[in-house]
Amino acid sequence: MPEAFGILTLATLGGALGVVLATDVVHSAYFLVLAFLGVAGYYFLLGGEFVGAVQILIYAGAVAVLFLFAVMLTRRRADPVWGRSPARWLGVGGAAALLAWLLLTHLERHPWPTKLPPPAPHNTALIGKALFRPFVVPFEVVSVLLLAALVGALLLARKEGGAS
Amino acid sequence: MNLAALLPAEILAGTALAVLLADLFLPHRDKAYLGLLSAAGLAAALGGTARQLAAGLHASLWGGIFLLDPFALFFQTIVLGAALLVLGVSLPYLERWGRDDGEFYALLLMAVLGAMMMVASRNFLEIYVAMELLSVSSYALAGFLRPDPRSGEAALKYYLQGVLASAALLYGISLLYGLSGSLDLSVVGARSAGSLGVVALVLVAGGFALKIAAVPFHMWAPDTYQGAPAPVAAFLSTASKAAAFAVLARVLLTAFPAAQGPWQELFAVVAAASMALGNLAALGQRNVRRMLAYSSIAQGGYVLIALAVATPTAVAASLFYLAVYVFMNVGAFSVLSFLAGPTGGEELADLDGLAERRPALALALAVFLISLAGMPLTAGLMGKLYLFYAAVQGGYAWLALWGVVFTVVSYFYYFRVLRHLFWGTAPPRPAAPAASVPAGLALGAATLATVLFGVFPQPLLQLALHSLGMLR
Repeated sequence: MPEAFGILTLATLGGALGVVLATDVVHSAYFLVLAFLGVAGYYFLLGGEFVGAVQILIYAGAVAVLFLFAVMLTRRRADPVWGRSPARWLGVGGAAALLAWLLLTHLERHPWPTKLPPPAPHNTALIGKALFRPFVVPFEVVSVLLLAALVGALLLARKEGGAS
Repeated sequence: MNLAALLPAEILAGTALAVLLADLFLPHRDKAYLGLLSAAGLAAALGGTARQLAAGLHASLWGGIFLLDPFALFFQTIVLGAALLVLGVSLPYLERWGRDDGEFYALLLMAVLGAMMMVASRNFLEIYVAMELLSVSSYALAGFLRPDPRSGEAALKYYLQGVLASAALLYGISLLYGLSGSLDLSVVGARSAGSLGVVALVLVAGGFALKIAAVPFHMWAPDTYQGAPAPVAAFLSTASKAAAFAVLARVLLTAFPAAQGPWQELFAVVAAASMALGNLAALGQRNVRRMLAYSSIAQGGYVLIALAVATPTAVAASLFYLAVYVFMNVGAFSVLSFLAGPTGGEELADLDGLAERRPALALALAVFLISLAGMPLTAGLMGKLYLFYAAVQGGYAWLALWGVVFTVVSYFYYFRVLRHLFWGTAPPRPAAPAASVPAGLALGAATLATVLFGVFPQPLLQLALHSLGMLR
């Protein structure tokens, strides 16, 4: 298992770094797919096969494809979005290093349990039951949230003077 | 029982959907009915919530995911009341811009729904989902007047910083879940002791602090409040702020009493910085809406004193302050919404001699500003008195003194507006459009409440204290 964890971590971290460092937005989107797949791997490793499958289908599949379409349809010039002045590198790198240092020292100091409880066997069924019994209202709120996002996106993207 | 207790929220969701559907079929000249339909839905939800509050409802729903206690109901009433005032002012505003579309009302109702759900949640999952509903609707509302580039800028700045805060919040929640194995507020705190728990708590607090526009998460506020439609700015600076404060207070006071020392220190610093930066930056503004944005950052600082002191008296004082702040701040932004738009600006010079042109508007604006400044006979003074008194009582005398000093600083910019209102020479300009009935009602109610709660603050303070009784 440690080997699998190492490979997945390499994929996830490498993908995430690639998203930030790539000069071309399309390359960033491809790196994002790699990071998404790495995270899906973690879910499988922990026995969460349903979440893992959903992660691949929705994030690595639908969301990433949507990103690529959006980038390719709206891009006019192949110029990088932001300049790469040394001051910017210093600021961004400094902030990232500070956050990483803060988290790592505290993560390391915490007495984590060394043995994981065994994952529940049929966790797909458990998720279904949780979603439609105790979490039914958050589930409905998510549906309103998606509607609000849809309406908002249409509103902001609509051509001026066009029929509503 | 569960579904019946959530009836006000269900009414709101139903009204939002009905407005969206009806928008498809109504001809353009009849769009004002959508506003009236939304107002009816909001009023019904407000009535229902107020009844639950009066009845002292205390219900734990769906195995504790929701907690409808007086604290939640108090804030739901605040949010619904603010939204109703905002809606009244929006009707003529949108008509004047020629943008009286149903989407505005539907998005406003959905934002209110998110805020309502947020303050009644006792589970981080529901808190996050509801807060995203509030945020996403707010981003779209801020960019509603997109032909105006400033409105687009307002939406974009709010969106980018909002997403960052949302990521911080989510990361904090994931750490807390990893530590405690639960998302339930009543369990998380007890199981996430230690320094990592404090780090996670700071990340979570950062997510909420953006909505309160507290320093250092205030950068979006001036541009967004200035560029967004004026009624939306009024909503963001009151209802959205109150909801975020409610969740923050609930998380800190009920889930993390063990880590009280560190977060009290943290919020003392945040409150002091917000008061200082907001009031000092407001001094230099020529645009009145931008000035109100900085003033709103400072007002958020006064309210955050309550989290630094963290005694029941202080939290009750913050409830009182947020309730009256709705009236004075929505009122001030509303008066500006009548002046701004295609027919006029909102620079200081545009207010010159408003007292001669529109005496009623000028008087109302004067009442709101005097109250925001905290002068006698207004609700703002009583709110500040309670807050500062609670701070002294709770051992934070320096914070109270700091607040008094910056209150005095704030007199300079509030009274500069008054000077322009009453003693400026009015240049000849086209007459501002006449106020409509709903807007007049909203403004009148806000003015009346600002004065009334200043003269008779006791009932509202009693209600605030009572709402707090069951929090602990």
